[in-house]
Amino acid sequence: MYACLWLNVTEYYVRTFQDGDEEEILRVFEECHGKYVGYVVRTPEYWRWCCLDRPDVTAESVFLVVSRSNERIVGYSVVGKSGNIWELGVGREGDSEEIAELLLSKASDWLVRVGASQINLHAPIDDENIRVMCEKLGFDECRPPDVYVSVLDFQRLILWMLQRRNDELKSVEEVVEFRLKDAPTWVKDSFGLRIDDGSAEIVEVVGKPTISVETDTVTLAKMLLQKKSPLSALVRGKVKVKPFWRFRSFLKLFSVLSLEGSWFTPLSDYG
Amino acid sequence: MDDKQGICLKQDSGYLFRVLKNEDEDGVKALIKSVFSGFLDGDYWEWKYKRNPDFDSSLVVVAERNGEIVGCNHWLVRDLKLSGDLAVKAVLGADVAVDSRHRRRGLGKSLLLLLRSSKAFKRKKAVISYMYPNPDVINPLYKPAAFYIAAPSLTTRYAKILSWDKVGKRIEKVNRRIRSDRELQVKMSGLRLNVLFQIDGAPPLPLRLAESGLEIDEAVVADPDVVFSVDLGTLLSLGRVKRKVFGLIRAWLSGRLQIKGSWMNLVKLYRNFWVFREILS
Repeated sequence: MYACLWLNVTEYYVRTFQDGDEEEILRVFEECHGKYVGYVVRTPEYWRWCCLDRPDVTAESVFLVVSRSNERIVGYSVVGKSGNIWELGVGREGDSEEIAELLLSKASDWLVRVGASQINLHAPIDDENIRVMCEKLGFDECRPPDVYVSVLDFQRLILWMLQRRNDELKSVEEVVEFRLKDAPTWVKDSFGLRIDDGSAEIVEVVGKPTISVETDTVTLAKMLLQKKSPLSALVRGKVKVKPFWRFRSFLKLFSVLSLEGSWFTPLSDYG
Repeated sequence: MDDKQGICLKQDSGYLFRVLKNEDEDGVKALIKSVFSGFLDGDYWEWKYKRNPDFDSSLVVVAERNGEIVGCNHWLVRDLKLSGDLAVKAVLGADVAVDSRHRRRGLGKSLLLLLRSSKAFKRKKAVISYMYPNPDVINPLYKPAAFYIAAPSLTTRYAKILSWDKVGKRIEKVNRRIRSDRELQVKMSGLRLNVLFQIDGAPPLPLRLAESGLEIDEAVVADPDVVFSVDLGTLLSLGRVKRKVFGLIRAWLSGRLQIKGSWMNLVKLYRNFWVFREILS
């Protein structure tokens, strides 16, 4: 049933969720968070489970800001009785400050009405609209739970990273051997990577590689996730490159291998 | 060793480690409820795992002793965005729980490692595992056992307290602990301390701490022995630090925390700070 909850003299109105809104919501999610990494790729099925089917959420607590001019969804929030604003997204269209204010006010009013004891929201640290609105509504900024990552398959991860940036590997011909000093049981302690004019494949190293990279599991993971600079790891002796005079090739390889982008974790992804 | 449903993965020191069976669900729910009290209950587990479109019971491992579920670890397969257009198969490590009577025996480590060596995991072809761990067990367990590192995060949290209703349940828990612990009763003998917490943007929290326990008492607002003024972010970070005295001093020196009261009362507050940490964390 169509429920118009908030009529305003502005160009937007707020309504609650109806079946079929999922695709539009996912578009707004991607517009809002697409520049970040570290979140689960949204499909309608995943979104329904992680938001709509959540025990403390109902269709009446999913608020959508809709543009009067074209009836497109320009912002949404998923609010749970537990006090968590599981997701909040503001799209690229329209006045993002006004949309954020509408969503946060609506969520706060609803949570007060249902007797929640607190309100929690996760947002990207660089989202100034949310910051300003949260300050205005009396929210405090706190540290969220940290995300920890453990690499299960270095070979596949490295290969995927290289395949998506293969234009940067043009004219490179190398056979790189990776040796992990403290490889845990689920990780191979040595593997090779053949790069040949833009294409890359994982190989068993037979004979002498052109570069040999010896390091430990945590350092390799940190370099891939941009938590440690390859140059600093090399200088501090955390990585050994053989022959040493090929260190510039090692640095070039890791400039392609680093995963750019910072992680943003919507509250709904925490489970 | 096999990892089909219910088949043993490992047997060690009287513990049987195996994949989840349908009949384990009540035991797992009870364990989760006891370890994450107030956070996860049966309905939540049902939604998070059984109703999850990506749930695979072969990625849940349990530790059993004498027919009782005493440990569990869940993995959920997800497509995680790792770079501009790169999404990889990842597993979310969730709700690793060990019954308090069976801790410090390596169960947590075994539960973490068993899934990594299982055939079910290999079939999924997951590239990374990620989790949001309890900060207290990152250094002793997750980092050394499974090589977890902190991801570069741009996430921040905004929070606002609307009422102190939730604190009531925690106060009951603290009072139960005081009533059942003779040593605490001796330590708190003759204690009487009125503390008023003034947290930015939240209603005042007047607490009366006595040897009989803790209670919310509005009368404390008019006559507090100690007034503790702080913002919510600082208060929550005080709950995380291990060396509370350093955390308190740092917050006080930076002006984020203000404490008013006589030296005698401040010493009393410090000696019993665990009570407030317990209810406000």
